[in-house]
Amino acid sequence: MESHETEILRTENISKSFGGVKALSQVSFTVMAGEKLAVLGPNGAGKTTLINVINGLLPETEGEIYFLGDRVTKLSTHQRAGLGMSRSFQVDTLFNRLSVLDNVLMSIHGHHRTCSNVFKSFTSYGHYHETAQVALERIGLWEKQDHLVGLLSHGEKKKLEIVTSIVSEPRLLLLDEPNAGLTSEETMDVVQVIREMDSSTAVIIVAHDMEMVFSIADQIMVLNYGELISKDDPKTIMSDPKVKECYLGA
Amino acid sequence: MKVNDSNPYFLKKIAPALICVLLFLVLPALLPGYLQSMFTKVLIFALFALSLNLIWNAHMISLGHAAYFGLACYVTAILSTQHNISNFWILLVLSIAAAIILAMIFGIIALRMSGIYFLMVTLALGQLVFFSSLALRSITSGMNGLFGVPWPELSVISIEWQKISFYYFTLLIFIVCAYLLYRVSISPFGYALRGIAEDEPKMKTLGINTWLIKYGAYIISAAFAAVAGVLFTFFSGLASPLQLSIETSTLAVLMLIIGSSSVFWGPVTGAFLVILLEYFSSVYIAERWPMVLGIVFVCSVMFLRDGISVHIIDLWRKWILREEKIACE
Amino acid sequence: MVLFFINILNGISFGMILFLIAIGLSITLGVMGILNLAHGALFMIGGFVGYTLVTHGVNFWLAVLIGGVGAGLVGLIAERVFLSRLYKQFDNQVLLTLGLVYIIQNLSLWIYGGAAKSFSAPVYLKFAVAIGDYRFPAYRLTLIALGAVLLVILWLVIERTKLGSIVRAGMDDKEMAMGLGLNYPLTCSLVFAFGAFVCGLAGVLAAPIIGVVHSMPMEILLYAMIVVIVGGPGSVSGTFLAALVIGIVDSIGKAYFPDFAMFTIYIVFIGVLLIKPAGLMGKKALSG
Repeated sequence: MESHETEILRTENISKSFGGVKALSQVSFTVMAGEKLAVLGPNGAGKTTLINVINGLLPETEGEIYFLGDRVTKLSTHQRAGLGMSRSFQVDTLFNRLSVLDNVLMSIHGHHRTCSNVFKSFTSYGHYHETAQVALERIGLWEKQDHLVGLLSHGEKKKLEIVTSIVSEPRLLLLDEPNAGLTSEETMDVVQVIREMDSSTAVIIVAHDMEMVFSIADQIMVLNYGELISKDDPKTIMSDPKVKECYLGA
Repeated sequence: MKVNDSNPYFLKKIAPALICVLLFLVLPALLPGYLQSMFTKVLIFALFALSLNLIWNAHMISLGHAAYFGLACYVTAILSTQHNISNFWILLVLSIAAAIILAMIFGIIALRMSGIYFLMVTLALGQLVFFSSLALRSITSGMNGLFGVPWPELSVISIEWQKISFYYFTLLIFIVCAYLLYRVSISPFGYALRGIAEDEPKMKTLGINTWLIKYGAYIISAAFAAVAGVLFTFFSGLASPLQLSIETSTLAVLMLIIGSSSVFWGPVTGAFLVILLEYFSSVYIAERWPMVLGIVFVCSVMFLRDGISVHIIDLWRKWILREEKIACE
Repeated sequence: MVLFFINILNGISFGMILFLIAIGLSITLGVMGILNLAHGALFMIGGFVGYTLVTHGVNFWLAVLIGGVGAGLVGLIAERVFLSRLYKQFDNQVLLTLGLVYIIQNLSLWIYGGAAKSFSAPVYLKFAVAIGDYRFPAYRLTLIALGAVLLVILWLVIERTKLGSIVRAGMDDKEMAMGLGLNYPLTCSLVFAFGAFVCGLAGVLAAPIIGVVHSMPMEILLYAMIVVIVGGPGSVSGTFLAALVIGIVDSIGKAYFPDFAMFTIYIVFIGVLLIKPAGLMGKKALSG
């Protein structure tokens, strides 16, 4: 049983520049086990950039990242994933020519590091199917396991996208706009899934939907022009004058 | 895609298999010698193209794969004509080993880039091997190449080699290799490879070491190209710089594209088409063959997108199976 | 020592030709993401057109121009009719441009036969300049001068004119370039044709030195590709620098290790790839 005192992620002075443009500036924060942190900010504030840097897809210009106490700044994306970091993308990255089930199986294969196997067949791992079934039943897609992803509705795709990042039992889950374009009912499904995350896992959610944010977030972090404006619990954030200013001024 | 699945099992599975058996097993026995040779050449190049397709579908477009094909040719030719090694299996293993070693080196260089640039680098590296064969004249006889490669010894059984017996031997090796390549394509490795082609960053976030998978695929593909090279050397009795040249690399690429790279057996169709065309052109318009080939390819780009195998499957579904397609995308 | 200097000069004159060949490829690759494997064939078309004209008494420099125009026309037609429909379809671009190479190559073989053709530089350039104990052909000096002039013109056009800034913008952001209100597809065709034109010019200019033969297209393409990758696609200065480097290395190689001359270029090529894959002046990592 992990206590809430386990540090999952710590960033120290993360900066990222693209040529002359500073996308992130000295961002430092910590996320603990069980914490659900929402990242807010106007468009272009650097939210997705931050996720990409934490995830390893973008190298930081400066700063350090610690995951589960270990320095991961120099590690590649797949190495960080191997340590328990998982993410979903803003635009869904499902494999359109594969079925729903196969998309989930791909994540499971990745998690168990069986992708280097050339002898067995992709679909022959029995216990992976069980894991996939549990995950798909949770979002009501088990009956559609053989459907090509291209046939799913937008809401179903978004939910599947999230499931593919959860099925690897991550310690840190990075969700980039998980409910973009979803109906409020579908959003509730997503919220439910996030709420059911294990207490040893931390979740960082980039979002714009304030209602969803308030129903899950323990902490809110506000970015503007790449700088961390404020990080606090939701009530404090809403009454913070600096936060109001960055939204009104944007 | 959901289909109206009322067709008998016979049509769906047995009929295609029957056609293949008739075409490749029965027909060649009834044909004259020079056509049997044509079929042998088809299988050899089909194997070469199949090996290339493994990495092609991972968006690793190699225009220098003849380096492995030709290297195997030379290893086989040199060892059998200059060092008296005639055992097929030994020559096969050594040729594959040589190709794998070269691929391990070239793979590191070429995988610094992707897409179009990967293509350019592999082209240049292929040429490097080509020029090496010309420079190392003492071993390779330079432009002349090596001749007089004798028929191989199988050590399991002794065979009086003829065109037809070599054809069936090639068919056997081809089937084994094609089956192995098929297994790779349905393995987690194969799925990962295709996933990398579609969305590499996503694959990385799933914990997959994408570089290693691409590297592995490149090496495997080189190994199978080498098998094709060994078969070619015995088929033609020689090894020349042509087998290392851009012409050979591009021929395999063209077979792959025109046959449909998205269908597993596409390259086989492509090889069949190209070599069939070559044989008939050589009878009527030998010197204009490259132009005919060029025109065929330009036309296929303009009118037959995605290659012919995709269209064959479509026609088969529409006319023979009478399937109704429920719209999908 | 003087001999070494002469070889360097040889290398520079060859480098100028390489620059003319490679610049078209570099820009069409960088701007339009089109891989034109028939680029070397354009060089050859220029050379053969020049050959036909010069052997019929046409003025050398006019032949150079018309050779370039010929190549430019072929390039324009290829782009308008075929390549413009294949945006981002690499498979089909490869197939199409290779098909064109096969056709052009075989056509040349048919028309001109298999032997290499050559023709002389203009009579008034057929002297040699004395450098130390050696003599260096004036024609090659002319090539160096021409190359330098073309570099300056190209640099001015790309860096200083509106057309150039649109081309450069297109390299970075296609949608934005289209939003600038210019007919972007037309601009693309013209840029492509211009690259072909310059390559054709090179074909005629180089003919007095290396001749023209039907087997040239892939050889030339290879040189062009190596220069483009070493210099970094899309960069005029990078292509120029790389062309000089490759030209000089090739010259030195041919002078001192004739059997292994090709390898000297490859060492540079592989070296750059391992150390700085984006090319000497390239900015981003290369993914097509």
